[in-house]
Amino acid sequence: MSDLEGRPEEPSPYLWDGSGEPEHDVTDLEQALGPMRHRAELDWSRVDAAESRKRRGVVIPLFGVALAVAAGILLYVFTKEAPPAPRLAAPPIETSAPLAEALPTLAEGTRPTCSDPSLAGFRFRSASGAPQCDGGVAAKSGVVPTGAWLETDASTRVTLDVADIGHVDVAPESRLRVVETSEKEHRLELAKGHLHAKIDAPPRLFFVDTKAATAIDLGCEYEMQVDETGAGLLKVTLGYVELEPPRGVPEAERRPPRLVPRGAECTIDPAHGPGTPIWSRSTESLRKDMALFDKNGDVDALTRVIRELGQKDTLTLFYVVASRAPEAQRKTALDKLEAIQKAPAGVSRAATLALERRAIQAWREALEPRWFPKTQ
Amino acid sequence: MHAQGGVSETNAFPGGSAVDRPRGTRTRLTVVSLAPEPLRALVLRARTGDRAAFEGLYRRFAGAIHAVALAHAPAADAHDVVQDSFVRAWSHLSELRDPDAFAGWIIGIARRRALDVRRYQKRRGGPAVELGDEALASSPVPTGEAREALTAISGLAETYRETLMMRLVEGMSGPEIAEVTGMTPESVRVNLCRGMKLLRERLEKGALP
Repeated sequence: MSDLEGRPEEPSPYLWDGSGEPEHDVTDLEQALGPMRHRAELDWSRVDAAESRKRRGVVIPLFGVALAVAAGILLYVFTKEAPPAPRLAAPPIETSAPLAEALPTLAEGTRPTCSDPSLAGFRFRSASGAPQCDGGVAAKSGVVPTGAWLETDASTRVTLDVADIGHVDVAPESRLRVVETSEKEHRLELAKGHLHAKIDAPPRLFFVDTKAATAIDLGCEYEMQVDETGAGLLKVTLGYVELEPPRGVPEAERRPPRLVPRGAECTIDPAHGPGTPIWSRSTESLRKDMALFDKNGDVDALTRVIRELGQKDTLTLFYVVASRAPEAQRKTALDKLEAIQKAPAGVSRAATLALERRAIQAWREALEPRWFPKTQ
Repeated sequence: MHAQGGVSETNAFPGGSAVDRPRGTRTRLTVVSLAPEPLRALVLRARTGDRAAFEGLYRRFAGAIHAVALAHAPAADAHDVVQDSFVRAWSHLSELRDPDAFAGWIIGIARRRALDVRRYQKRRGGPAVELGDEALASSPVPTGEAREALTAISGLAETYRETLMMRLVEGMSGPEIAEVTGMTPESVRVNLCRGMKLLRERLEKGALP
């Protein structure tokens, strides 16, 4: 073996198996790249969802065949066992009437809800357990019709198809409703629980309403959880989501929408709407302080947050500046922001602090390349 | 990774991550003495729906698959590629004729999946990754050195990219790379040697975006 210059192609012992003298450039690369090392566990929920989809593909034709066979058997049994009409027997209508009455009753007792595939709504399939749909025990798969609620207990997981634009995995202990599904809009309401949405569609086609905010899909994958009170968290793993105050909040009380990019999260609270977006990689104490400010207006917590934010935290700095936080904190945040990013042309400090729409918009546009990956 | 593997576990530095260590500190590649369950047996058990066996396969191969993903797809999508590859493997395990060929098979799945993601991101006009932006900082890649290194590696030929990602990101040793990928140790030696040489040249030239 020889390399490009004719020397033996033998990696150093250190490069080969970590023995021998460390090579500084190799150790530098290891130190730089080591934090990216894979550590995640296998996500069985994805495996289960895929299995469920696969099963559905097989089960539906099998179900059809089974139905046809059952119908044939029934037909055979009834025609075979029906005694030839005796001349003096009671009219057939009288003998068969009790059976005819009993059949619907039996059927009503066992018929699962949301099993009518012709209804408008979201197709669903349960990956485990038995969901409740529209007030009854649902079939393993079917359609959650518009207006109906779907509930999962502690052992139930459900996947919803959002038309042909994506799917929503619903975790145990969740309750949600299909508000609308049409070419223009697909909308769910999450009353409590946890969902994971993966959508591949033009922006503003898929919405999730909660008591505290509406999540507007801008082409993304995200998780959303809310508790019984409507407070919760949005966490974006791909693309970005816009969080708007819920419908019905008076204009004067509305916080401006939050853009939450991949890798970021944002708390929501029914009393205040969307909180302040923050990178999920931030320390727990930082995220906790941010939540304290968003929920309780804790200014000390906000001060700690601003002090900790660094060069890679313009997302949070911007939303602090653009918020109705106390002016002293907003000024400090703006100082930090201006040290990282030159103010947009024509945008004065005064206009920014006065929350002039044009100034805030210009800042956001100037900062967005830092939040979103560029096109390849 | 590789709790059941032959040569494994890196960064065995108590109390400090890779980024905390001083420059030039050795990254220890430790030989795990536990005899691993044969690959064939794991695959055969996993085929019957044995989740523990499949998790064994995941532990053994996830690092290598992550390296393959990093070699072909935007860094931020690498985790998804790993998960998707294993989901696909679980669903199609019955189609794998030779259980001993699992390594090449799942690496092939990962490669195709990563390329699909890359093509999809291009078609969609993003989100392709500009390494080093705030979004990427949300995955643990906080340094400019990582960005520079990834950019330089991404300019190399596929075979060098994958091998170097396994060695430099996943901390796999040469023998382990050979074992996991099914390549001969000689091929891995060549890939490491040539790849590292080309990487050094690129870094010296300043392969920044």
